[in-house]
Amino acid sequence: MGLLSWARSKSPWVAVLHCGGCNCCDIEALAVLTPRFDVERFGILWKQNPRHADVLVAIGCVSKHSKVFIKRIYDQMLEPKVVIALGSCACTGGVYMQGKGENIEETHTIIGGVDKVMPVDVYIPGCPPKPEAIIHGVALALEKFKEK
Amino acid sequence: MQLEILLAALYTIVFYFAAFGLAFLFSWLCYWIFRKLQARLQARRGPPIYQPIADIIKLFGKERFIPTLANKTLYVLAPFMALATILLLVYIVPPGYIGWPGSLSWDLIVVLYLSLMFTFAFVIAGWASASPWGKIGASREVSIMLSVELPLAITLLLPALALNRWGAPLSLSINTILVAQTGQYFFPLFPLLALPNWFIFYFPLAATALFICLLTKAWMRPFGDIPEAEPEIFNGPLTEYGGPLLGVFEFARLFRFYVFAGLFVNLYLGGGDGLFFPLNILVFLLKCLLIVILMTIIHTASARYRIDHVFKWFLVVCLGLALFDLLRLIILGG
Repeated sequence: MGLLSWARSKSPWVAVLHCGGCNCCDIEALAVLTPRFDVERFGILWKQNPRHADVLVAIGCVSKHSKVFIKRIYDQMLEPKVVIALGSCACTGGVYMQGKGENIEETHTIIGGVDKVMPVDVYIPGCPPKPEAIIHGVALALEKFKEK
Repeated sequence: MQLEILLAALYTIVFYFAAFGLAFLFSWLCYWIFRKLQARLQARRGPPIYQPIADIIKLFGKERFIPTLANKTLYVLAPFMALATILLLVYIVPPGYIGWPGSLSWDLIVVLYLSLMFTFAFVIAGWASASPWGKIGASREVSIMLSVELPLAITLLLPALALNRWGAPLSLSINTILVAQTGQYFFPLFPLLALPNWFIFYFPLAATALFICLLTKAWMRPFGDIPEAEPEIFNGPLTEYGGPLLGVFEFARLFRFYVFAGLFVNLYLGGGDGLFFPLNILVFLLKCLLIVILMTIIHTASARYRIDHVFKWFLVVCLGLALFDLLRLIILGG
Protein backbone atom coordinates (compact mmCIF):
# COMPACT_ATOMS: atom_id res chain seq x y z
CA MET A 1 0.00 0.00 0.00
CA GLY A 2 1.52 3.29 -1.11
CA LEU A 3 1.59 6.54 0.79
CA LEU A 4 -1.17 8.05 -1.33
CA SER A 5 -3.65 5.22 -0.90
CA TRP A 6 -2.85 5.17 2.82
CA ALA A 7 -3.66 8.91 3.04
CA ARG A 8 -6.85 8.44 1.02
CA SER A 9 -8.11 5.70 3.29
CA LYS A 10 -7.25 7.71 6.42
CA SER A 11 -8.78 11.05 5.45
CA PRO A 12 -12.15 10.71 3.70
CA TRP A 13 -14.13 13.95 3.61
CA VAL A 14 -17.84 13.40 3.27
CA ALA A 15 -20.63 15.35 1.57
CA VAL A 16 -24.21 14.30 2.18
CA LEU A 17 -26.62 14.72 -0.73
CA HIS A 18 -30.34 14.65 -0.08
CA CYS A 19 -31.98 13.40 -3.29
CA GLY A 20 -35.59 12.95 -2.20
CA GLY A 21 -37.71 10.79 0.09
CA CYS A 22 -38.29 11.31 3.80
CA ASN A 23 -35.65 12.67 6.23
CA CYS A 24 -35.04 9.60 8.41
CA CYS A 25 -31.72 8.56 6.86
CA ASP A 26 -30.47 12.15 7.22
CA ILE A 27 -31.06 11.99 10.94
CA GLU A 28 -29.33 8.61 11.21
CA ALA A 29 -26.40 9.90 9.17
CA LEU A 30 -26.04 12.90 11.50
CA ALA A 31 -26.15 10.57 14.50
CA VAL A 32 -22.83 9.18 13.23
CA LEU A 33 -21.20 12.51 14.15
CA THR A 34 -22.40 12.46 17.76
CA PRO A 35 -20.07 11.56 20.67
CA ARG A 36 -21.44 8.00 20.83
CA PHE A 37 -20.30 7.05 17.31
CA ASP A 38 -17.79 9.88 16.56
CA VAL A 39 -16.45 9.23 13.06
CA GLU A 40 -13.73 11.90 13.31
CA ARG A 41 -11.53 9.24 14.94
CA PHE A 42 -11.35 7.66 11.45
CA GLY A 43 -10.44 11.03 9.96
CA ILE A 44 -13.91 11.56 8.48
CA LEU A 45 -14.82 15.24 8.23
CA TRP A 46 -18.26 16.60 7.38
CA LYS A 47 -17.57 18.89 4.39
CA GLN A 48 -20.85 19.90 2.79
CA ASN A 49 -19.00 20.90 -0.35
CA PRO A 50 -18.66 18.57 -3.38
CA ARG A 51 -15.33 20.15 -4.39
CA HIS A 52 -13.70 19.18 -1.10
CA ALA A 53 -15.42 15.83 -0.61
CA ASP A 54 -14.08 12.37 -1.45
CA VAL A 55 -17.17 10.41 -0.45
CA LEU A 56 -20.69 11.34 -1.56
CA VAL A 57 -23.41 9.89 0.64
CA ALA A 58 -26.66 9.93 -1.36
CA ILE A 59 -29.85 9.70 0.67
CA GLY A 60 -33.36 9.04 -0.67
CA CYS A 61 -34.90 8.09 -4.01
CA VAL A 62 -34.29 10.13 -7.16
CA SER A 63 -37.20 12.21 -8.37
CA LYS A 64 -37.51 13.40 -11.96
CA HIS A 65 -37.00 16.95 -10.75
CA SER A 66 -33.78 16.34 -8.79
CA LYS A 67 -32.12 14.04 -11.38
CA VAL A 68 -30.27 16.86 -13.21
CA PHE A 69 -28.93 18.40 -10.00
CA ILE A 70 -27.73 15.09 -8.59
CA LYS A 71 -25.79 14.45 -11.78
CA ARG A 72 -24.31 17.96 -11.64
CA ILE A 73 -23.18 17.57 -8.02
CA TYR A 74 -21.61 14.21 -8.87
CA ASP A 75 -19.69 15.85 -11.72
CA GLN A 76 -18.50 18.65 -9.42
CA MET A 77 -16.60 16.19 -7.23
CA LEU A 78 -12.93 15.65 -8.04
CA GLU A 79 -11.43 12.22 -8.78
CA PRO A 80 -10.97 9.82 -7.03
CA LYS A 81 -14.51 9.73 -5.64
CA VAL A 82 -16.75 7.14 -4.07
CA VAL A 83 -20.56 7.15 -3.89
CA ILE A 84 -22.52 5.50 -1.10
CA ALA A 85 -26.27 4.87 -1.47
CA LEU A 86 -27.67 5.14 2.05
CA GLY A 87 -31.04 3.56 2.84
CA SER A 88 -33.54 1.44 0.91
CA CYS A 89 -34.80 4.37 -1.17
CA ALA A 90 -31.32 5.27 -2.40
CA CYS A 91 -30.58 1.60 -3.18
CA THR A 92 -33.73 0.72 -5.13
CA GLY A 93 -36.35 3.44 -4.81
CA GLY A 94 -37.95 1.75 -1.82
CA VAL A 95 -41.59 2.34 -0.96
CA TYR A 96 -41.89 5.10 -3.54
CA MET A 97 -41.90 2.62 -6.45
CA GLN A 98 -44.98 0.81 -7.74
CA GLY A 99 -45.47 -2.86 -8.63
CA LYS A 100 -44.60 -6.10 -6.84
CA GLY A 101 -41.67 -8.54 -6.73
CA GLU A 102 -39.73 -8.47 -9.99
CA ASN A 103 -42.01 -5.99 -11.72
CA ILE A 104 -40.99 -2.75 -9.96
CA GLU A 105 -41.50 0.31 -12.16
CA GLU A 106 -41.07 4.03 -11.83
CA THR A 107 -43.98 6.28 -10.94
CA HIS A 108 -44.94 9.63 -12.43
CA THR A 109 -42.44 11.45 -10.16
CA ILE A 110 -39.86 8.93 -8.91
CA ILE A 111 -37.42 7.22 -11.26
CA GLY A 112 -35.78 4.86 -8.72
CA GLY A 113 -32.49 4.44 -6.83
CA VAL A 114 -29.41 6.62 -7.04
CA ASP A 115 -27.68 4.18 -9.41
CA LYS A 116 -30.03 5.31 -12.20
CA VAL A 117 -28.09 8.62 -12.25
CA MET A 118 -24.52 7.93 -11.14
CA PRO A 119 -22.30 4.88 -10.48
CA VAL A 120 -22.69 3.65 -6.90
CA ASP A 121 -19.85 1.85 -5.07
CA VAL A 122 -21.47 0.80 -1.80
CA TYR A 123 -25.12 0.09 -0.98
CA ILE A 124 -26.32 0.36 2.64
CA PRO A 125 -29.87 -1.05 2.88
CA GLY A 126 -32.23 -0.33 5.78
CA CYS A 127 -35.12 1.96 6.49
CA PRO A 128 -33.28 3.75 8.00
CA PRO A 129 -29.93 1.91 8.50
CA LYS A 130 -28.40 2.06 11.98
CA PRO A 131 -25.33 4.27 12.55
CA GLU A 132 -23.21 1.11 12.95
CA ALA A 133 -24.31 0.01 9.48
CA ILE A 134 -23.41 3.44 8.07
CA ILE A 135 -19.92 3.30 9.61
CA HIS A 136 -19.48 -0.23 8.19
CA GLY A 137 -20.56 1.04 4.77
CA VAL A 138 -18.07 3.91 4.89
CA ALA A 139 -15.33 1.46 5.89
CA LEU A 140 -16.23 -0.66 2.82
CA ALA A 141 -16.12 2.49 0.68
CA LEU A 142 -12.59 3.23 1.91
CA GLU A 143 -11.53 -0.18 0.53
CA LYS A 144 -12.76 1.05 -2.88
CA PHE A 145 -10.16 3.85 -2.82
CA LYS A 146 -7.41 1.26 -3.11
CA GLU A 147 -8.84 0.10 -6.45
CA LYS A 148 -9.09 3.64 -7.88
CA MET B 1 34.92 38.18 -0.73
CA GLN B 2 32.92 35.70 -2.75
CA LEU B 3 33.49 33.03 -0.12
CA GLU B 4 32.09 35.34 2.56
CA ILE B 5 28.90 35.93 0.58
CA LEU B 6 28.59 32.19 0.00
CA LEU B 7 29.06 31.47 3.71
CA ALA B 8 26.48 34.10 4.67
CA ALA B 9 24.00 32.58 2.21
CA LEU B 10 24.70 29.10 3.58
CA TYR B 11 24.20 30.38 7.15
CA THR B 12 20.83 31.88 6.21
CA ILE B 13 19.72 28.72 4.40
CA VAL B 14 20.66 26.49 7.35
CA PHE B 15 18.81 28.73 9.80
CA TYR B 16 15.83 28.96 7.47
CA PHE B 17 15.46 25.20 7.16
CA ALA B 18 15.94 24.76 10.91
CA ALA B 19 13.11 27.25 11.50
CA PHE B 20 10.96 25.60 8.84
CA GLY B 21 11.43 22.10 10.29
CA LEU B 22 10.74 23.30 13.81
CA ALA B 23 7.66 25.23 12.70
CA PHE B 24 6.34 22.31 10.65
CA LEU B 25 6.68 19.73 13.42
CA PHE B 26 5.28 22.09 16.04
CA SER B 27 2.35 23.17 13.85
CA TRP B 28 1.57 19.53 13.07
CA LEU B 29 1.45 18.81 16.80
CA CYS B 30 -0.62 21.95 17.46
CA TYR B 31 -3.14 21.17 14.73
CA TRP B 32 -3.56 17.66 16.12
CA ILE B 33 -3.96 19.06 19.65
CA PHE B 34 -6.44 21.61 18.26
CA ARG B 35 -8.65 18.88 16.78
CA LYS B 36 -8.12 16.34 19.56
CA LEU B 37 -8.81 18.80 22.39
CA GLN B 38 -11.87 20.09 20.54
CA ALA B 39 -13.14 16.49 20.27
CA ARG B 40 -12.38 15.74 23.92
CA LEU B 41 -14.18 18.88 25.07
CA GLN B 42 -17.20 17.66 23.10
CA ALA B 43 -16.91 14.17 24.72
CA ARG B 44 -15.68 12.59 21.47
CA ARG B 45 -12.51 10.58 20.76
CA GLY B 46 -10.87 12.76 18.14
CA PRO B 47 -8.51 11.97 15.24
CA PRO B 48 -5.12 10.20 15.49
CA ILE B 49 -1.87 12.17 15.40
CA TYR B 50 -1.11 11.54 11.70
CA GLN B 51 -4.42 13.16 10.68
CA PRO B 52 -3.13 16.61 9.53
CA ILE B 53 -0.47 15.10 7.28
CA ALA B 54 -2.85 12.45 5.87
CA ASP B 55 -5.29 15.23 4.89
CA ILE B 56 -2.60 17.17 3.04
CA ILE B 57 -1.13 14.11 1.25
CA LYS B 58 -4.61 13.07 0.15
CA LEU B 59 -5.36 16.54 -1.23
CA PHE B 60 -2.13 16.51 -3.27
CA GLY B 61 -3.18 13.18 -4.79
CA LYS B 62 -6.52 14.41 -6.11
CA GLU B 63 -7.55 15.63 -9.54
CA ARG B 64 -6.26 19.05 -10.70
CA PHE B 65 -9.06 21.45 -11.47
CA ILE B 66 -9.63 25.10 -12.51
CA PRO B 67 -13.20 26.46 -12.87
CA THR B 68 -14.04 27.62 -16.41
CA LEU B 69 -15.22 31.07 -15.33
CA ALA B 70 -12.38 31.71 -12.87
CA ASN B 71 -9.55 34.18 -13.37
CA LYS B 72 -7.00 31.44 -13.97
CA THR B 73 -3.82 33.35 -13.07
CA LEU B 74 -5.08 34.63 -9.74
CA TYR B 75 -6.84 31.35 -8.96
CA VAL B 76 -3.54 29.48 -9.22
CA LEU B 77 -1.38 32.23 -7.66
CA ALA B 78 -3.47 32.84 -4.50
CA PRO B 79 -2.52 29.60 -2.65
CA PHE B 80 1.17 30.14 -3.41
CA MET B 81 0.91 33.73 -2.19
CA ALA B 82 -0.49 32.46 1.13
CA LEU B 83 2.26 29.84 1.35
CA ALA B 84 5.06 32.32 0.52
CA THR B 85 3.93 34.90 3.08
CA ILE B 86 3.50 32.39 5.89
CA LEU B 87 6.89 30.78 5.15
CA LEU B 88 8.53 34.23 5.33
CA LEU B 89 6.76 34.83 8.66
CA VAL B 90 8.13 31.50 9.91
CA TYR B 91 11.65 32.81 9.30
CA ILE B 92 11.08 36.31 10.68
CA VAL B 93 9.34 35.38 13.96
CA PRO B 94 12.24 34.17 16.16
CA PRO B 95 11.71 30.98 18.19
CA GLY B 96 12.48 32.79 21.46
CA TYR B 97 16.12 33.05 20.38
CA ILE B 98 18.01 36.28 21.01
CA GLY B 99 20.09 37.16 17.94
CA TRP B 100 17.92 35.18 15.52
CA PRO B 101 19.27 35.95 12.00
CA GLY B 102 15.79 36.40 10.51
CA SER B 103 15.01 39.20 12.95
CA LEU B 104 16.23 42.49 11.46
CA SER B 105 15.68 46.11 12.45
CA TRP B 106 12.33 46.57 10.62
CA ASP B 107 10.70 43.37 11.82
CA LEU B 108 7.40 44.57 13.23
CA ILE B 109 6.46 46.50 10.08
CA VAL B 110 7.23 43.45 7.92
CA VAL B 111 5.23 41.17 10.24
CA LEU B 112 2.28 43.56 10.02
CA TYR B 113 2.52 43.67 6.22
CA LEU B 114 2.98 39.91 5.74
CA SER B 115 0.15 38.94 8.07
CA LEU B 116 -2.07 41.30 6.06
CA MET B 117 -0.91 39.70 2.80
CA PHE B 118 -1.64 36.25 4.22
CA THR B 119 -5.27 37.21 4.84
CA PHE B 120 -5.41 39.00 1.50
CA ALA B 121 -4.43 35.80 -0.34
CA PHE B 122 -7.76 34.34 0.79
CA VAL B 123 -9.62 37.43 -0.46
CA ILE B 124 -7.98 36.99 -3.87
CA ALA B 125 -8.82 33.27 -3.82
CA GLY B 126 -12.48 33.95 -3.13
CA TRP B 127 -12.69 36.70 -5.72
CA ALA B 128 -10.85 34.82 -8.47
CA SER B 129 -12.85 31.60 -8.18
CA ALA B 130 -16.01 33.11 -9.75
CA SER B 131 -18.35 31.60 -7.19
CA PRO B 132 -20.99 33.61 -5.28
CA TRP B 133 -20.00 31.82 -2.08
CA GLY B 134 -16.37 32.74 -2.70
CA LYS B 135 -17.28 36.37 -3.26
CA ILE B 136 -19.40 36.58 -0.08
CA GLY B 137 -16.55 34.94 1.85
CA ALA B 138 -14.02 37.37 0.35
CA SER B 139 -16.14 40.39 1.27
CA ARG B 140 -16.44 39.13 4.85
CA GLU B 141 -12.70 38.53 4.94
CA VAL B 142 -12.14 42.18 3.88
CA SER B 143 -14.55 43.45 6.55
CA ILE B 144 -12.70 41.51 9.23
CA MET B 145 -9.35 42.70 7.88
CA LEU B 146 -10.45 46.36 8.02
CA SER B 147 -11.51 46.11 11.65
CA VAL B 148 -8.64 43.92 12.91
CA GLU B 149 -5.68 45.78 11.40
CA LEU B 150 -5.91 48.96 13.51
CA PRO B 151 -5.84 47.36 17.01
CA LEU B 152 -3.35 44.79 15.70
CA ALA B 153 -0.95 47.51 14.49
CA ILE B 154 -1.17 49.46 17.77
CA THR B 155 -0.65 46.42 19.98
CA LEU B 156 2.20 45.03 17.85
CA LEU B 157 4.10 48.31 17.96
CA LEU B 158 3.35 49.11 21.62
CA PRO B 159 6.36 47.24 23.17
CA ALA B 160 8.75 49.02 20.77
CA LEU B 161 7.16 52.40 21.54
CA ALA B 162 7.36 51.69 25.28
CA LEU B 163 11.10 50.92 25.05
CA ASN B 164 11.60 54.19 23.19
CA ARG B 165 9.57 56.12 25.80
CA TRP B 166 11.66 54.59 28.58
CA GLY B 167 14.89 55.84 27.04
CA ALA B 168 16.13 53.24 24.54
CA PRO B 169 16.74 54.28 20.90
CA LEU B 170 13.72 53.48 18.70
CA SER B 171 14.01 49.97 17.24
CA LEU B 172 11.26 48.04 15.47
CA SER B 173 13.01 44.70 15.93
CA ILE B 174 11.56 41.73 17.83
CA ASN B 175 15.13 41.03 18.94
CA THR B 176 15.28 44.27 20.98
CA ILE B 177 11.96 43.42 22.61
CA LEU B 178 13.23 39.94 23.51
CA VAL B 179 16.38 41.41 25.08
CA ALA B 180 14.33 43.94 27.06
CA GLN B 181 12.17 41.21 28.58
CA THR B 182 14.99 39.14 30.12
CA GLY B 183 15.24 40.80 33.56
CA GLN B 184 12.87 40.81 36.50
CA TYR B 185 10.13 43.28 37.28
CA PHE B 186 9.91 44.47 40.90
CA PHE B 187 6.71 46.03 42.14
CA PRO B 188 7.38 49.57 43.39
CA LEU B 189 5.24 49.12 46.53
CA PHE B 190 6.20 45.52 47.37
CA PRO B 191 9.96 45.19 46.79
CA LEU B 192 10.03 41.46 47.57
CA LEU B 193 7.41 40.54 44.98
CA ALA B 194 9.09 39.97 41.62
CA LEU B 195 7.63 38.91 38.29
CA PRO B 196 9.36 38.12 34.99
CA ASN B 197 9.95 41.30 33.05
CA TRP B 198 7.29 40.53 30.43
CA PHE B 199 5.27 43.16 28.62
CA ILE B 200 2.01 41.43 29.54
CA PHE B 201 2.52 42.68 33.13
CA TYR B 202 3.09 46.26 31.95
CA PHE B 203 0.30 46.31 29.33
CA PRO B 204 -2.29 43.64 30.21
CA LEU B 205 -5.08 45.35 28.27
CA ALA B 206 -3.07 45.69 25.07
CA ALA B 207 -2.01 42.03 25.43
CA THR B 208 -5.67 41.02 25.65
CA ALA B 209 -6.46 43.05 22.53
CA LEU B 210 -3.56 41.45 20.64
CA PHE B 211 -4.71 37.99 21.74
CA ILE B 212 -8.21 38.59 20.35
CA CYS B 213 -6.76 39.94 17.09
CA LEU B 214 -4.45 36.93 16.67
CA LEU B 215 -7.33 34.58 17.50
CA THR B 216 -9.21 36.08 14.58
CA LYS B 217 -6.15 35.98 12.30
CA ALA B 218 -5.77 32.26 13.08
CA TRP B 219 -9.33 31.38 11.96
CA MET B 220 -10.62 30.64 15.43
CA ARG B 221 -14.18 31.25 16.54
CA PRO B 222 -15.89 33.77 17.79
CA PHE B 223 -14.77 35.87 14.79
CA GLY B 224 -12.13 34.02 12.79
CA ASP B 225 -14.31 31.58 10.88
CA ILE B 226 -17.02 34.03 9.83
CA PRO B 227 -15.65 34.05 6.23
CA GLU B 228 -16.03 30.28 5.98
CA ALA B 229 -19.23 29.76 7.95
CA GLU B 230 -20.18 26.39 6.50
CA PRO B 231 -23.94 26.46 7.25
CA GLU B 232 -24.34 29.72 5.31
CA ILE B 233 -21.68 29.96 2.61
CA PHE B 234 -20.11 26.44 2.35
CA ASN B 235 -16.38 27.19 2.69
CA GLY B 236 -16.32 30.88 1.80
CA PRO B 237 -13.20 31.80 -0.20
CA LEU B 238 -12.14 28.16 -0.53
CA THR B 239 -15.48 26.87 -1.89
CA GLU B 240 -14.26 26.34 -5.46
CA TYR B 241 -10.83 25.06 -4.47
CA GLY B 242 -10.09 21.36 -4.49
CA GLY B 243 -7.23 18.95 -5.00
CA PRO B 244 -3.58 20.16 -4.91
CA LEU B 245 -4.39 23.89 -4.72
CA LEU B 246 -6.53 23.31 -1.64
CA GLY B 247 -3.64 21.22 -0.33
CA VAL B 248 -1.32 24.23 -0.67
CA PHE B 249 -3.83 26.35 1.26
CA GLU B 250 -4.16 23.73 3.99
CA PHE B 251 -0.36 23.44 4.21
CA ALA B 252 -0.04 27.23 4.54
CA ARG B 253 -2.75 27.32 7.18
CA LEU B 254 -0.98 24.65 9.21
CA PHE B 255 1.72 27.20 10.14
CA ARG B 256 -0.76 29.65 11.65
CA PHE B 257 -0.37 28.03 15.07
CA TYR B 258 3.39 28.55 15.16
CA VAL B 259 3.42 32.05 13.67
CA PHE B 260 0.52 33.71 15.49
CA ALA B 261 1.09 32.06 18.88
CA GLY B 262 4.83 32.71 18.48
CA LEU B 263 4.24 36.39 17.78
CA PHE B 264 2.24 36.78 20.99
CA VAL B 265 4.81 34.88 23.04
CA ASN B 266 7.72 36.91 21.65
CA LEU B 267 6.12 40.31 22.12
CA TYR B 268 4.28 39.94 25.42
CA LEU B 269 5.33 36.70 27.13
CA GLY B 270 9.09 37.05 27.07
CA GLY B 271 9.97 34.57 24.29
CA GLY B 272 12.69 32.21 25.51
CA ASP B 273 13.53 34.30 28.61
CA GLY B 274 17.11 34.79 27.43
CA LEU B 275 18.14 31.24 28.34
CA PHE B 276 20.91 29.30 26.60
CA PHE B 277 20.36 27.51 23.27
CA PRO B 278 18.17 24.41 23.48
CA LEU B 279 16.32 25.58 26.59
CA ASN B 280 15.10 28.91 25.15
CA ILE B 281 13.41 27.18 22.21
CA LEU B 282 11.81 24.63 24.55
CA VAL B 283 10.47 27.37 26.84
CA PHE B 284 9.20 29.26 23.80
CA LEU B 285 7.41 26.19 22.39
CA LEU B 286 5.87 25.43 25.78
CA LYS B 287 4.45 28.95 26.01
CA CYS B 288 3.16 28.68 22.41
CA LEU B 289 1.48 25.39 23.29
CA LEU B 290 -0.30 27.03 26.23
CA ILE B 291 -1.50 29.85 23.96
CA VAL B 292 -2.75 27.31 21.39
CA ILE B 293 -4.61 25.36 24.09
CA LEU B 294 -6.22 28.59 25.34
CA MET B 295 -7.20 29.48 21.76
CA THR B 296 -8.68 26.00 21.24
CA ILE B 297 -10.77 26.22 24.39
CA ILE B 298 -12.13 29.63 23.33
CA HIS B 299 -12.77 28.26 19.81
CA THR B 300 -14.71 25.28 21.16
CA ALA B 301 -16.63 27.16 23.83
CA SER B 302 -17.89 30.05 21.73
CA ALA B 303 -20.43 30.42 18.94
CA ARG B 304 -19.86 32.24 15.66
CA TYR B 305 -20.69 35.95 15.81
CA ARG B 306 -22.42 37.92 13.06
CA ILE B 307 -20.29 40.06 10.77
CA ASP B 308 -21.57 43.37 12.22
CA HIS B 309 -20.51 42.26 15.70
CA VAL B 310 -16.93 42.16 14.42
CA PHE B 311 -16.84 45.93 13.90
CA LYS B 312 -18.24 46.56 17.37
CA TRP B 313 -15.78 44.19 19.03
CA PHE B 314 -12.65 45.33 17.23
CA LEU B 315 -13.27 49.04 16.67
CA VAL B 316 -14.77 49.62 20.14
CA VAL B 317 -13.56 46.95 22.58
CA CYS B 318 -10.15 45.95 21.21
CA LEU B 319 -9.25 49.42 19.96
CA GLY B 320 -10.39 50.85 23.31
CA LEU B 321 -8.15 48.44 25.24
CA ALA B 322 -5.19 49.14 22.95
CA LEU B 323 -5.66 52.93 23.03
CA PHE B 324 -6.03 52.94 26.82
CA ASP B 325 -2.61 51.35 27.25
CA LEU B 326 -1.12 53.52 24.49
CA LEU B 327 -2.38 56.75 26.12
CA ARG B 328 -1.27 55.51 29.53
CA LEU B 329 2.20 55.01 28.05
CA ILE B 330 2.32 58.41 26.35
CA ILE B 331 0.86 60.44 29.24
CA LEU B 332 2.01 58.60 32.36
CA GLY B 333 4.99 56.74 30.94
CA GLY B 334 3.73 53.17 31.42
